[in-house]
Amino acid sequence: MIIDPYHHPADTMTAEAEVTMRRSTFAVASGKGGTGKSTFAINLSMALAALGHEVILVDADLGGADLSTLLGIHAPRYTLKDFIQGDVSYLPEILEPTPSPHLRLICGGTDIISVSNPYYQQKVKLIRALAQLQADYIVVDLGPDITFNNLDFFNAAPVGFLVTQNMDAMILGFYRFLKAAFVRRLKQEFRNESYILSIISDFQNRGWSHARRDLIGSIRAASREAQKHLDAVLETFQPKLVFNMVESPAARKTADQMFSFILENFGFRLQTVGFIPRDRDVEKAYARNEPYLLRFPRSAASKALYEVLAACGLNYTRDGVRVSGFSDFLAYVKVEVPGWNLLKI
Amino acid sequence: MSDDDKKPPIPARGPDRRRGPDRRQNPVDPADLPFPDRRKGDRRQMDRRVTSPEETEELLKIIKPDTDEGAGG
Repeated sequence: MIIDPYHHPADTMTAEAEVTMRRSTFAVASGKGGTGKSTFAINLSMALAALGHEVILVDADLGGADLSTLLGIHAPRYTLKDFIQGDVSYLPEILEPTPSPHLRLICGGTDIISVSNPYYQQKVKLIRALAQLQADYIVVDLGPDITFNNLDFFNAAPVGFLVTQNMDAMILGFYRFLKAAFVRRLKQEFRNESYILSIISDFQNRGWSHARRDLIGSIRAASREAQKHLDAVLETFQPKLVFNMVESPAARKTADQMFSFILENFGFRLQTVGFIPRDRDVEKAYARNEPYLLRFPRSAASKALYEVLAACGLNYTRDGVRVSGFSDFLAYVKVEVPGWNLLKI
Repeated sequence: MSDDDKKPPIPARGPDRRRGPDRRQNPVDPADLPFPDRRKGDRRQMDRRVTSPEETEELLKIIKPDTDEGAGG
């Protein structure tokens, strides 16, 4: 493949926008490292697999992949590096089995630095290949930083989870990521309308006190078509927020405040879907490279994870049976445990 | 008439695609490029602000961090 690093993304943005991932693809982002994003991605995938769904977990943290380690897989046969560099042409070839019969992993590649900075065409190739994977759910674990790669993966997935903690730095991190993703999404949606693009660029350049509330109102006022298009974007851009390592009810107040702030300034609804408590059991499982859902199924964190599933309408088995309570959910999880050969504590 | 005269003229060389005018149809904010847009003469990558200091200050006022007094409330 001939790669021109100066090939203009405008040409491929159109192609990328046409790639619509299936509705069951989840991107997991954070905007700040250390929030527990990868742990959440693993346990969310594990929970869905326990309910009988075919799940593919993708380690798209291109600069700091570690999901294979966290799942106890120390020497994967292939990684994303092999696909991105063209050594493997068919993405399913690099699927790595896990002890769960329903969960497979695409390992990230960290052994070569260029994988952290793929060319735009390589990124589009990967997004397209992910869209063609055959599975009930695809969970894409993104890197923590605000890069074009992470923003594009986040926007390409129909459902985006943001994992944060109720601390200033973490909240600011997720907010920056969310705002950057939203603005990039708007630019992609209105890529053929130079007047709207100029409104968005003005919004990015002007001071906050002048720019706030102007963005959505100005786009709406531009034309009836722009208004309809914007409403369609706002309808579909509904990221889901998960507070992790929660220690007090204060997180609920922060969630309410962030919902109001974002709705007022950007017009979209940020849905908070769960509060996972700080739990010593999670740390113990993390230290052993084991999903806490399997090691400590009855832990407070596992219960909160079930509540996230329920809040997102994901508490159904593959056969369509509704799992109506945590105790029912535990019955499914326990079936998974023997296969994992968990270390003795 | 020589054989050379019968040959069709060699077509003129096409324009240099890299150095020619900007023929792109879609307007693109140079700040969305991960490199300087050299065709527009940019020597440095354009950038846009994600958040401003005033915005950060406003956000910090609405965050209720986990504190001891918040616990159990």
